[in-house]
Amino acid sequence: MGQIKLTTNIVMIALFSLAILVFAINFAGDNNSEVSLADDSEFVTIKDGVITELSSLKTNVNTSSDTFITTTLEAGDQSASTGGQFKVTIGNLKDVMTFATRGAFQKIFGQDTSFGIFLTTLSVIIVFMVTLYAWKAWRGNPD
Amino acid sequence: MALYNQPNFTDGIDGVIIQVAKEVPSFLNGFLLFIFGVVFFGGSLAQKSKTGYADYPMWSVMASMAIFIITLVLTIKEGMINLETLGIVVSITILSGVWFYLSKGRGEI
Repeated sequence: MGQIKLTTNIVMIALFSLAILVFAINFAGDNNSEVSLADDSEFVTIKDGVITELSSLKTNVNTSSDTFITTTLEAGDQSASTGGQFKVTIGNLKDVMTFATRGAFQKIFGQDTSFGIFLTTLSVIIVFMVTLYAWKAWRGNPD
Repeated sequence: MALYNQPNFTDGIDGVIIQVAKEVPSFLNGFLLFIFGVVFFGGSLAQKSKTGYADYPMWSVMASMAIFIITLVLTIKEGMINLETLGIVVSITILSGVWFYLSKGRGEI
């Protein structure tokens, strides 16, 4: 999966999770439902967390993009070696995705530490993909 | 002594469903599981028979959305759905979305 496709997919996961949670909460509020997702503090925390992370992503992407766009290269200059504009998107998104799925896993598997391996493995895989793509961006072959 | 109170038609057929749901708490959970199974297995098997390929993540999302909407509607009436069931349905929907967006079968061969 290419870097752009991976980034887009993780953003879509965050937006999909947010849409589900917000729709459920607003539906209950509009219809005065007896059971509301807003009564579950964990899902409210997930919703607020995803919103905060996406807002942070927007800010960081704009900042890095401006830095990249306003940079000029003269003949013989070396290009940026930090790769900041490529790191910021993937680096923010891994937090968004683990945040959104953590609550879902805990709801299904409970707080039992025996099932914590699922979350741990998911986080490890995401961090691995993030690190790999950040390195590939520096190497000059972002795939 | 009866195992449970049998429903009556005083309040109509919808009242019967509500009484059954209150007497047998797992009734609506089983109903939701049935809807999920029908959409998921029916859709994926039909797609596989027609095209030779079944997009399981997509059908998982569609089945999850179906039970999600049904669950939301059932939360309006007291005693039908509890908060735990709603939380599990929302969790399954989110995880189906994660599986869908991380799969490579979306419109691809």
